[in-house]
Amino acid sequence: MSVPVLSVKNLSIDYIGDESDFRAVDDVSFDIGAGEFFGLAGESGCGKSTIAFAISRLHRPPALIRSGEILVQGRNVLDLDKEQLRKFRWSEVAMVFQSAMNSLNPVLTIETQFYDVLHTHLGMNRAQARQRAAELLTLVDISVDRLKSYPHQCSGGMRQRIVIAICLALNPKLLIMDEPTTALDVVVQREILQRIDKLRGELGFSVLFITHDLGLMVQVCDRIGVMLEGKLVEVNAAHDIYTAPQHDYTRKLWASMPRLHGEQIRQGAQ
Amino acid sequence: MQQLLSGLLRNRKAVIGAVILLLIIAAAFAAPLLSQYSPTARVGRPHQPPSLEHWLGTTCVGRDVFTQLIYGARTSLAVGFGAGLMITIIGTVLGIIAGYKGGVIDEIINFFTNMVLVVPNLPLLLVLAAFIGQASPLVIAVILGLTSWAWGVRVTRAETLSIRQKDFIKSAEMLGEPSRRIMAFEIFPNLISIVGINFIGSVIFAVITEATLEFLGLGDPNTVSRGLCSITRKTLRPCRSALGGICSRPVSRWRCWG
Amino acid sequence: MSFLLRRLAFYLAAFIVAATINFFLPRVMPGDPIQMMFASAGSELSLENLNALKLTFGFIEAPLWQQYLTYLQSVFTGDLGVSIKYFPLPVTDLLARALVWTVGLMGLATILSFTCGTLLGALAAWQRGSRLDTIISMSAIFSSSVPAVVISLVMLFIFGYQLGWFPNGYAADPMLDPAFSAQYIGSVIRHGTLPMLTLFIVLVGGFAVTMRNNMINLLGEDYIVMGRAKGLGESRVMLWYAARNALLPTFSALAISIGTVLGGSLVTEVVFNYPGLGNVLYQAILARDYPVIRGQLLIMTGAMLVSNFIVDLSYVLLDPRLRKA
Repeated sequence: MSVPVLSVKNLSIDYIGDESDFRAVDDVSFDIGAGEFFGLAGESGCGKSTIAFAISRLHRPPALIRSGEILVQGRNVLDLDKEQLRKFRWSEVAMVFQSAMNSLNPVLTIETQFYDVLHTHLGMNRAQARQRAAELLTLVDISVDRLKSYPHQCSGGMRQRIVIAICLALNPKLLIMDEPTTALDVVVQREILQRIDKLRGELGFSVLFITHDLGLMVQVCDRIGVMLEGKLVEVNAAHDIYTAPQHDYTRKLWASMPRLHGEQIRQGAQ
Repeated sequence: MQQLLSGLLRNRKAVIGAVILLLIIAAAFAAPLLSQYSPTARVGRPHQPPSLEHWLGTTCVGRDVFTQLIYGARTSLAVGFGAGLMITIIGTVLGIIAGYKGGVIDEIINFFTNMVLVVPNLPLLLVLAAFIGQASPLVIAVILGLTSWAWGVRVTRAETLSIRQKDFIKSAEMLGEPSRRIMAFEIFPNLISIVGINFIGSVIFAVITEATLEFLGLGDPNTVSRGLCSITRKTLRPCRSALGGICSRPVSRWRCWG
Repeated sequence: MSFLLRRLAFYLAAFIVAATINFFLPRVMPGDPIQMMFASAGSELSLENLNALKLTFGFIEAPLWQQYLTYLQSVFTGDLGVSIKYFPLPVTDLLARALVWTVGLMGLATILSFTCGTLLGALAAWQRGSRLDTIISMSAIFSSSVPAVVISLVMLFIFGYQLGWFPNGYAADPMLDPAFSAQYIGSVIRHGTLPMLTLFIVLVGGFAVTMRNNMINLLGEDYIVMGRAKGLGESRVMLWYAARNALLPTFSALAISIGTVLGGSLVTEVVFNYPGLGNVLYQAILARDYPVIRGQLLIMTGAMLVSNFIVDLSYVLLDPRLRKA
């Protein structure tokens, strides 16, 4: 692997409290290579979303990055000034948010939400933006006349696909998905992940996929990191995480999951 | 309650507000001790500037302005708290019933709520006061209470609707608790903060409105005189109203803080 | 569309209820209603005129329901009787003249204060916790908790009497004839400035506080975070992602507060002796001019309903979810 698309080095993030600070992310390091599908797993509150937000510096007070580096294609995100940061966002790292129902602005048409990105970053006019948005919608199998719709006129799965299309508008190097499918039903969930995987093959971006659903993760990811209380306790190939979990916590995660098919993983002697 | 108090003490703005409010209430209660004059008696020469004998001067008929101010605060506070209490009770009761019972009852209460919201409040008060002729503070408080509860119903109803969906209400229903009991002991305690905000807002509203009515001379129309006195009236009345304003400020600070 | 139709039906019902209250008001009050309503008219009105007036208000020798219908009929045909004080001027004429001034004053003040208030509130919410937020919030709370009476008196005292920058009463120089001349319009503007400014101060704080609270509640929403993640300019996200959405609940708050606006303008008019509805009502109450007083209630309710309907219409334009629903 050459220069990794994303390289997180010794990152620590605190939530500043009245009396004491809470360390949400503790000395975390990992790399994501070009075209890689990387998963970050862990229970809620373990700091995985905090990392996702910090990569685009979207974290807000009281969250504060104490130390470490976040390199995107070799450039430290934490060193960017305001204007550089604005240009960096979305053109290099795009993000799909937790709730499918809620990440599109309810009062703007789908077209305008494409236009916002294309106009700000590429200076496109309305007509050019419409053209490009139509192409992007085709990528996610959504009819072009949806451009004139408002978010509330689309179903949840459709909205999530539209968000993905907006994510791809600037050909980002990294797509962060923060529990993107929790609000969707299982069938739609699977369909969306398969689509992302396919698009990744065609367009060559990397994915940082965050979820608490380890079973789902193993099916789509190349490598997986497992987080526990702000620390990254295990990083390994997805297959190894599944068949030979190293850390106790990973094993417990597996044990807590109902198995309907396949081999029951034996819990190691404890 | 303890949490509320400690939170209040930490917030300096709230403390200042509370102190001012308490001072005004104390002044109102202790009015006879603070001033040797009667608010309605002629105690000096008219139109005196502030002096040692008359701290804020005298009115056009030689009454002591400071005395009028602290006695006036009594009326303002009494009307404010009385009407505020009434508004809150009506608003809370109707809001909970509408939100919890739903159906036709909800529709009916909702209709009347919207109705009261679109009939302009102050003009209605003026007209009522005009018809009644002599509106004593008590009458003003009652009218205020009867015409201003709509906002409270709206808010309480919305909150009740969301509480009704909660599991503990469901389980109380399963256990066969009568709906009156559910409304009083399951829903109401969860609405305390909203009821509190409603009460504070209503008191402010009532104090200001009472002051406004007084200013317009509708408190007791017999004394309305548009002669020599009118300018003094215009400068005296606002003092009382200003008092209302001062009262309401700390209270609204609480509102913001809460 | 069905949303607007439902609202319209409600407004009609509301108007009828207001008219009904108006009908029963003198009848439930202690004493003889006819006696009370026309007591002050006795000497000035001829018997014939008095009888016509009684008919308008449904005081006829008939069962109550018939009286009620007669009254409703005159209301819906726009006959509100004649003023006793300005006999024989019809109440509708008197009120129509006043309505123009009130609508101008109230409308402009509402639009201005709503625009400024929401912008300030949005700015405060966007930079919450900053010094700007503290300044805006404190002054907003201050302006919204001082009663309209006090603000108008202070304004009148400082700018009207002490500094003498603005006239102290009337909507225009009484020496001038109403005309579309620069002189007349200039006079109207000069006379309107103080009442307008007063009403603006009375209203702007409330709108700013409401907007700030609504917007702070929204700031955690995913679409706003996504707006920032999209690398859009700060102002674009603040105005079109955050403020634009927070405007919706603020707008419904506006609908509820129109009553307050009307109350505020009423007080302001009385203080500034501005010839709008508020002042007419005040004068009518002093003169015990009951036909005018009752007409007032109806016309003010009507004004409330119309402004509510305008708010509804704008709300439908603002919220795409209502447009095709």
